[in-house]
Amino acid sequence: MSVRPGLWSLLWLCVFMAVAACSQSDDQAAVATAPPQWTDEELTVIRSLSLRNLPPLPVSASNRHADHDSAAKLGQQLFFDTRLSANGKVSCASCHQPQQDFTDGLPRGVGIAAVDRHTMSLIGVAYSPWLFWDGRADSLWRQALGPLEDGREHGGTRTRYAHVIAKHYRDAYADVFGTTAELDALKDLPPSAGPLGNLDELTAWEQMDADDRDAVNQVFANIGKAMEAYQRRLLPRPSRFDDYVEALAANEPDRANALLSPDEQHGLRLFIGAADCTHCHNGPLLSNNDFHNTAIATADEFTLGEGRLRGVHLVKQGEFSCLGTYSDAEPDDCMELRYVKDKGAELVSAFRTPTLRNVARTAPYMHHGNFSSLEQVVAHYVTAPDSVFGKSELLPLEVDADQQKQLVAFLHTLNEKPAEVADAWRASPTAAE
Amino acid sequence: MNRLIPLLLALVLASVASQTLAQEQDYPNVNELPVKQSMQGVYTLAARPSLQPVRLNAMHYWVLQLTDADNAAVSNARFKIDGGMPGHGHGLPTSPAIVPGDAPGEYVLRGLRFNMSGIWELRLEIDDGDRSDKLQLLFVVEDTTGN
Ligand code: HEC
Ligand code: HEC
Repeated sequence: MSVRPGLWSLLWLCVFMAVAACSQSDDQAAVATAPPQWTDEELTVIRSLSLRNLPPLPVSASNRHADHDSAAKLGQQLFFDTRLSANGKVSCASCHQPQQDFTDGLPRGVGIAAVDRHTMSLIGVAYSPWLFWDGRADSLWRQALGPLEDGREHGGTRTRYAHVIAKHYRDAYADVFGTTAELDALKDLPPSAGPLGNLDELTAWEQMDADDRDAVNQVFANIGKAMEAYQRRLLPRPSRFDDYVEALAANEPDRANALLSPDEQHGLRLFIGAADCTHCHNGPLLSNNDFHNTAIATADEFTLGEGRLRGVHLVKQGEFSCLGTYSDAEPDDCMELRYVKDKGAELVSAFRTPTLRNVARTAPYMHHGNFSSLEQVVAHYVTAPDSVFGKSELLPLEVDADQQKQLVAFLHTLNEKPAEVADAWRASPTAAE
Repeated sequence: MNRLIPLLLALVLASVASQTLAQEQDYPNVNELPVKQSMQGVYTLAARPSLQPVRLNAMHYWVLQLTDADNAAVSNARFKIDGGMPGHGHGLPTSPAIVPGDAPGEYVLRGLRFNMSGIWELRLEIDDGDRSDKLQLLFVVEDTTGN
């Protein structure tokens, strides 16, 4: 049983190629007319990609409210609330748009100003131990605090946001967190102060008492915790591919073949075999959520091109980590952070493998948004160029033009089917009312 | 004749591929790790993963039992640990560490996560003050969540 599926399919591919060559007619008909015959090994890998095998959500030990409904509802309101920004115009949903699978269709996100990286989809995001392209956050609640204080995204400060909560969300806050003590402490605090603000805001922050800063930090962390509770509800829905796997498992080949065309099925065979995409895009989300150098960073990215090397340095610091002051976790709950890989040449310019669910709908691609189509993505994997920084893990692929089309065709089968019942978490809370 | 060339080529490739396959079958599965001797025979190590079966991308730990050549439990050992996927030239995706367990000769290898299927290697340097030795574990991790 311990056979590497890639090799099996290589073997079958060889036989297939030979048979095809022997019986070849004049037209180069490489676009398949017949579906592949799967081996047992291939079927095992195919099943491992199905959404049916999605494990339960991992526990978020650093956020004791992560699975509370009231927290998720509050988080949903905050996620769509433009008052949580310096200019009153930006919310998380400005970039993570529900109708676009929580992306924005742009190469790089735009809030108050343009940022350096491509907006990531949020569906199934709670399964990743690391957040951001470089994994510089170790929880969804910590992640949310990043854009809020980034001058190009929401552009506001901690005390500004704490005042918004005290003014507009007092009851919901009390309901979720069981206290308003820290909101009461805000009364006489400056309207806008924070460690990442402009010089005035920074000075104001430094002049505050340690106790006041702590109260503000507590509210700030809780904003993130509510947003995490919300984003944990953004779960992937089955795609045509998942139905196909189900039909295979039920031994209903006719149904299976009606669901995926021969080309899509051959694309799947390449994906798990000769093209070895499952090396990194594995499991039901088609991602190992780990970091790899795939030669994407461009020379103009400077320190950002360092990817995980910089991300791991950042994730270990700070009061909002799993091991920090505002975490609800015991140190033994923070295994990922405590045993994080923080050395090694492989970290240079490594970025997180994204999920491929809905990928055909979420162009452009990669952390820098530099590919506008899946054809370009696949062509990149086939040529496997050298990396500008560090060493790429990719090897050139023996995949011809028709097979590249099949790979792309397969990626299109990963789009979610429309929901049978509208999912209220996938829309703004006002839309639901 | 021209038509035979691809066929021959395919046969050659297929035999190369099956040789590589045989190699992979030579290694134990991570779920059934056999007891392993260190290189100079100083220690014997038994390892049991906390997850059965081990899943891809899931953080977990292993319980280790260390004995010496006389089958006596070895406590007070210190470990250095390293590893990766020899076939791919990359290291482990985490920085695991070994801490003492509850029973004599018991240790816990914490912070393991495998992010790909294939052959993995762990290299241990063991030192209990009086003796030291190296130990290598090679095993196969598969994504079997579909089973
Ligand atoms: C200006 C556009 C923009 C805004 C506003 C924004 N994001 Fe993002 N989001 C991005 C970009 C770009 C990335 C990737 C950034 C990086 O890796 O450096 C990202 C990454 C993320 C991730 C990580 C996803 C993953 O798989 O790792 C999450 C979660 C997220 N955003 C949630 C939020 C939340 C919650 C808010 C509101 C507090 C928010 N975002 C506001 C653009 C935006
Ligand atoms: C060595 C690991 C690895 C392998 C093998 C790999 N990928 Fe990726 N994939 C990644 C990483 C990492 C990224 C993000 C890279 C970045 O933005 O810097 C990515 C990004 C992508 C994206 C863009 C997704 C998005 O939302 O931006 C697609 C599509 C994709 N891969 C498809 C494939 C296909 C198809 C194959 C097989 C031909 C493949 N990958 C093989 C690691 C891998």
